[in-house]
Amino acid sequence: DDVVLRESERGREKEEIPPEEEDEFNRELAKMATDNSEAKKVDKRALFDLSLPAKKKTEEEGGSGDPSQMKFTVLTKKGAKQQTRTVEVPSESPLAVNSRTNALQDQHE
Amino acid sequence: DDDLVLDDLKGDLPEHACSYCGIHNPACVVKCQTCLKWFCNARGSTSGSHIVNHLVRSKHKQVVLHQESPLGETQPECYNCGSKNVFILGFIPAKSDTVVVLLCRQPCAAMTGTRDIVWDTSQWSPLIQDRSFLTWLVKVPSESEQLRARQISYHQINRLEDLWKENKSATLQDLDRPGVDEEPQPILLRYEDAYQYQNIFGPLVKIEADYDKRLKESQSQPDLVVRWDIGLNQKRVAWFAMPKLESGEVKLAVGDELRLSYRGDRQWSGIGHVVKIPNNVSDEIALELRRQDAVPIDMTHGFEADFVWKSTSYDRMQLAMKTFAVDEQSVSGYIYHKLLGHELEPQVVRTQMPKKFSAPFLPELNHSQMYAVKSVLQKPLSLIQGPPGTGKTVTSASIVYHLSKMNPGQVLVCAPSNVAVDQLCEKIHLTGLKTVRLTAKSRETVESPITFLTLHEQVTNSTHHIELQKLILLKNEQGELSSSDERKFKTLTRACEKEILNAADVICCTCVGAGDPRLSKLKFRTVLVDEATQAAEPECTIPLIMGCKQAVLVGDHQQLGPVIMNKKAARAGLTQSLFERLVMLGNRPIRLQVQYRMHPCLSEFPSNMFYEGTLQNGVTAPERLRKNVDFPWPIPDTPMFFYQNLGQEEISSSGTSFLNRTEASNCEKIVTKFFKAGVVPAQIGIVTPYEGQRSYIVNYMQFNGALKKELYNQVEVASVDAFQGREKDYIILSCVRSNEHQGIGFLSDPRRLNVAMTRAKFGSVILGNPKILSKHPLWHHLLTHFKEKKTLVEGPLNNLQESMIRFNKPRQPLN
Ligand SMILES: [Zn+2]
Ligand SMILES: [Zn+2]
Ligand SMILES: [Zn+2]
Repeated sequence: DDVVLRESERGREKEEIPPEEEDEFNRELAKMATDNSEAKKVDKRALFDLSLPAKKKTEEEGGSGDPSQMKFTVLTKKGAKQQTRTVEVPSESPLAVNSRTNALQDQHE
Repeated sequence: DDDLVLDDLKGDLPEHACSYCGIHNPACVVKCQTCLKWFCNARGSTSGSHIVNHLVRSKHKQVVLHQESPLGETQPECYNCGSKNVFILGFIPAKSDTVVVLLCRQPCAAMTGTRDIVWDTSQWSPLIQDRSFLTWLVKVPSESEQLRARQISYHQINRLEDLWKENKSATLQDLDRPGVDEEPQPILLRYEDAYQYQNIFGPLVKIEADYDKRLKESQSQPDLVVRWDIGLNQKRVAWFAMPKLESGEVKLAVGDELRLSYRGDRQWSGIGHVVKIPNNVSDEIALELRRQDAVPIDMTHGFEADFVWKSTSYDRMQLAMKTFAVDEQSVSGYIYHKLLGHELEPQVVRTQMPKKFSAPFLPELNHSQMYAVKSVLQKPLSLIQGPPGTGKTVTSASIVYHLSKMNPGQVLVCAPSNVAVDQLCEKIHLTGLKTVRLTAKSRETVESPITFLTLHEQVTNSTHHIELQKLILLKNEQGELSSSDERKFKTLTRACEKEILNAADVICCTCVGAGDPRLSKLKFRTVLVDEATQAAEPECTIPLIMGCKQAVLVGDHQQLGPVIMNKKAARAGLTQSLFERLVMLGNRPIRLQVQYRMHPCLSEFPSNMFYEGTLQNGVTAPERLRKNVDFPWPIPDTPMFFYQNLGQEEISSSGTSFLNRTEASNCEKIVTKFFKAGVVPAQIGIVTPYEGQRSYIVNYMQFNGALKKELYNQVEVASVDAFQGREKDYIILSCVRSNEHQGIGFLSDPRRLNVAMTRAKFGSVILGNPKILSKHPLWHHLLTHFKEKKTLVEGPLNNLQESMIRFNKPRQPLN
């Protein structure tokens, strides 16, 4: 219980993170994102074969009605089988904005 | 409200509560797949969200989403290649539908390209953005949830992460237990006696050793594909690629031991030592197995490799410090007090000075080299500072020659790295001295230009022991000997080794190698340590405590120092070399002053900045100009320029890395220009401080190089640290850092800048953002230097123009 009291004393005052530690963190973060691309044997064709899942009618129409959200289908794999899951993405997110722009463009073409 | 906090924290939190702050809203947490701890997506006092902070701090890369997340309990992975590293995963939307798929940035998302009609790869957006998970996938806890949570500070988080490395189940409460996480006692300038010395360095060496052990042992590499081979010595060699090595997580050296295991229908595991590490030609490692029986050579898949950590080098440091403390004969009284930093009257070694200070078959010495040799011979302890290209090796070899001629017994010559020992050993041999190179047993099969000088090779070639020769032949033919023959072989080998060592004038080995049991009976009154500024102090002590009366330390404390992995040990001062401490104590190093490497325009800045302007040029400008190389130097007789690149660095939270595309693309253009001018790949070096940029440049040149691919992969691209001690005709330095708010990281270390600036003989190009770099005082100086020379330029390579960019004011004055 002592611990809790001592901690609440500290409050939420923001500590300064030393710049060199921040830099170190960034460097580590950069390393995490370096993955050796040659080490992976990737089948190039497989990706081009990756087609869109057939959509169920109900899913397409059943919008949540919440204008701040946009429904997306995430394509995943379970073993060799394709699976889909519906997620709600904020309408302002780049993903949603971009998708709307594309849809508009399609209509004009 | 306080009661609420107390209740929440007193009560048992569910398993999926954030290990930092205790938040346990299922929509807000993610499980680390490596350590199975849960973390939330709130930032609290860290710059990244708790989960991202944890993954980076602990170098874990895979996660599992909570069952109640929009994707359910799944482990995010690349749809195409199955990569589970969350730092390279991102969503790609379909071009004409609200469907997304998870792909890794490299190679899968990069591969689909414009030909793809379904997927819009240009819209790849990372799973981790601005250092937290996408908030529609993992929610950020609300402000009130965060207020109610455990308030953990940035400092506490760091300590907790450190603690987890030792004890996986440690909690926040454990931080307050006495004895946990105490900072070790820092190093001193002066020590009362060798006991105090040992009491301070002993724990630091232990911390570093423990850290090294944990790091190595946690690196196990599954799913290896092995190719089998037989070495010249009839031993089984396994060849395989180790992806972890290429990602820079683990460092591997020749001689390191690995355990290779097979987990298939039959169980097998065997220990071997690495005889080849990845190089420009091949990514494969060669592992020579110790035992030859039952090796599953018919199998290729399903192998796993683990590091076998060895404490040898740390044990030898500890033993050396103990010997220094308890054995009065370990060093002379004068050296003892000098090493501890006690005030002493200067002492002169009474000796007959040679008439000539150059050594046979070595180049004539210049004035400052001669002065260095002369003063070293008369002093019991001397420091020689050898700035880049000043002929350190020739000077050292000449010193060793004279020391050997003037003194009884063998001279011990050491350096921290095998490469440096080999180079010096080769030069010493040229003088005609009987030179022996002692290597670790595990390095005996490593090819080097001085293989003939190694002790084991000299044993093999010795004509004194007919019986030993027979046994060696037999062993090479059969691979193994009968146990009685093996015993005989060992006894004879030992006798022969002893004979050769006793007859030698000079014995060369690494600092750690000086602790080899084969040398334990020998006394070395004269010792020279090269690259002494790259050895941690306890490492440098090993060769000195074998009876030393006269010591010479050669190095340059203006270049990079020893690499210490553990932060606590580094903070406590283990990164300081003995050489540096002796300089701080007022022992003035003798500086070699004439450099023979760089075009005079390249040595000017380093000389002024790092060597008080004392560096003289032993080469003239015409000697360092290649008339036939048609390259667009802005000032024709000045083969250098700072190439202004304003391209943004990419901070890794965008899923990419610390890299700079503009600089990489300009690197390729410059290299191509050099090729077209007739420069060959081996003459070019690309230096960059960041691993992210290194691999990006390598890949970029492969895929985008204007000329033949094979040309580009022969160009060495490496870190500044990897280039220390070496030179190239042309050097391109890619600085990478280009951001408004953060520091310039690695580049702010003056010693690293010095090393980077002094590798080129004929010309160098620096790529960087002057606006950003000029905030740093040291770089401000450098940029001003380029500007004054009218070599700060911008624009396309074939039409470079002087840059008119205004520098920033440096943040703090340079002292
Ligand atoms: Zn973890
Ligand atoms: Zn948390
Ligand atoms: Zn992939």
